[in-house]
Amino acid sequence: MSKLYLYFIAIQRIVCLILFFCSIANQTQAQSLYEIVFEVGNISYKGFLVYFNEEEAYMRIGYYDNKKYNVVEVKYKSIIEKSGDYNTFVMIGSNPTYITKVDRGVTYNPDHFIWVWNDKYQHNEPYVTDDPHFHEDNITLAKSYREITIKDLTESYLRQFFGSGEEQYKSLLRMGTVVSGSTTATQANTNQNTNNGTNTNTQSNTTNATLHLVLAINTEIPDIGRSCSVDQKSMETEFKEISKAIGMPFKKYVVVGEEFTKANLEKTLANLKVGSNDVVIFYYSGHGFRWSDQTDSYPQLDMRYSEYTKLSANTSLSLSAVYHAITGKNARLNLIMGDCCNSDIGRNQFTNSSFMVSRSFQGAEVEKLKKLFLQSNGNLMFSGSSPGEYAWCNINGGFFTLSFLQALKEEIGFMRNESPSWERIVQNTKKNTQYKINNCDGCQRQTPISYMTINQK
Amino acid sequence: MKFLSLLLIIPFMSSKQPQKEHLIFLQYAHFIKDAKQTTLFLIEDTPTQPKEQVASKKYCLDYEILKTVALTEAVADSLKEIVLEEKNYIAEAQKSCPMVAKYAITFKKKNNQSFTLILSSAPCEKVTVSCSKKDFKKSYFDLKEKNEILVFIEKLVME
Repeated sequence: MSKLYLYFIAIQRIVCLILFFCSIANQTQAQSLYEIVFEVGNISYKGFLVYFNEEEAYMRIGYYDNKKYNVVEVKYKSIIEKSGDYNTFVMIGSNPTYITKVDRGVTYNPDHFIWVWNDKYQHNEPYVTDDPHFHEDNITLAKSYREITIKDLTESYLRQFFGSGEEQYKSLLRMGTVVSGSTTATQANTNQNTNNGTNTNTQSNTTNATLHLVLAINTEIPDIGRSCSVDQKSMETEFKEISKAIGMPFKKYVVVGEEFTKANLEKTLANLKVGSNDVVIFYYSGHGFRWSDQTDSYPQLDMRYSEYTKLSANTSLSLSAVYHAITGKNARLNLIMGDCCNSDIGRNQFTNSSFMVSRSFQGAEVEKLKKLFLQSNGNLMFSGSSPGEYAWCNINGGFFTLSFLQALKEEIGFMRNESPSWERIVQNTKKNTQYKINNCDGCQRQTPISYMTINQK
Repeated sequence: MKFLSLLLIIPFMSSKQPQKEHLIFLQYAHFIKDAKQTTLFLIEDTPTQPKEQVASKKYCLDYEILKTVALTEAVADSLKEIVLEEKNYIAEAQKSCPMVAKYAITFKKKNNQSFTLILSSAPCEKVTVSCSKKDFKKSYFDLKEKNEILVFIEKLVME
């Protein structure tokens, strides 16, 4: 077993413990919630962490000081690093703001949290310090650390951290009520339809529309096949749950394993029958490249599952060709995505053959899903990398795919007050991808590119 | 922002660590370091299935050999050193672009102690590592953008 493999396994284990990957690699809530209890100088602190992504998180920290209960909010940014055999996930606190009233002049030093692990050592609880210099004497191990479940989101629990008039409190309470109550996602969907002005249109969209998910995943290729399989599972679960939540019939078309060929993909797309109110999502995860004489900005998809097959125009096709094939069917909403490299292969195209003309969705607000999938029309072509760039992946999947899912979940979460928008999902996917690249040792620039004509009601 | 200093101050880490294995070649790195024979080949970009291979041609791990590049002892030693340099490899992530083989290197210490590397330079820098030892699984790694391995090989080939 290679050391790199062990390293990945170690990461895989620890990611179940640390929020970074829990929030982005698994099918979880739109925002992840954690509780951390720690003690500094005989004072016990309980933190309620709301984690959106690496760049955006905050913690409400409650503690008693001289019998007075205080709550403070601290903003967080996080970094994952590797040094030798050790990995660290560091959350840096800043901008502490008291939520409860405190005497003039009272300040709070933001706490920083550090998770450390390698293939032999791992610890569930993070280290904590409020020392900006991270001096050894000021670092202690937290008492406990756990993911907060929906069942925890009761009034009495939340009131430890939030005022009853706060928007976050209301959103969290709603999240707990909608998801853990007797109302199922579909029932909630129906109820919400009855109670809002877009009722007729939305119901009509739901009954007439089908969500088609076309997955072309290179699961067999030895170098990145495992990562692509993770992408497949993530995307499949995500869209299946979305369709379930908004009551849309779901149809899946999968081109994987030894069926992963250009001919099979073309056949799948040609046979795709869609209605004018349907949603079509095409997702590719595998190798990508561009020909040296290529002018199209979008990548070529490498449709070979075996390294013994020669790369040529007969074994590849462009993401743009897929886009035209799908949008030509005139579905209401088309999302065409490719998580692959777009780097120059160093030679011109050989021939010019033409392409045919995990969990439940507990953190998503159904009304927001409807806005995105039922009350939107148009097309999106989204590539994980710009011309000349690589797309990066690890055992948790492609960075672009993880970032897209992260951006989508943020958008549909209970704690976002804005109306959901595809434009913001695209922008946040780009931003999240770049953030992951910047924090990956050895990775180079990866800038997703998009072409979008989606209108939202 | 770098927090690597943390690794030095967290108490549990001060305990003595076991001797570190090579990131890529594990406990068999000495097959390369002490190799008696180092050979560099230019190869076809795609391997040929064994049943389709012809007797008149030579192959290295199913890749047809197009040219053998002669190496002096000094050059071979430099190549060993560069190949063993862990900084040339990426451990955290992989690139989603196809392997298009260009070079092969074999390091032979003894008959049953050898490594073969298949390298790709475009569309991205990748390496496949195969070892004569059965417990070493064929592995796929990405090379850093400015890795010394391909620079060194391409200079040799140009000469």
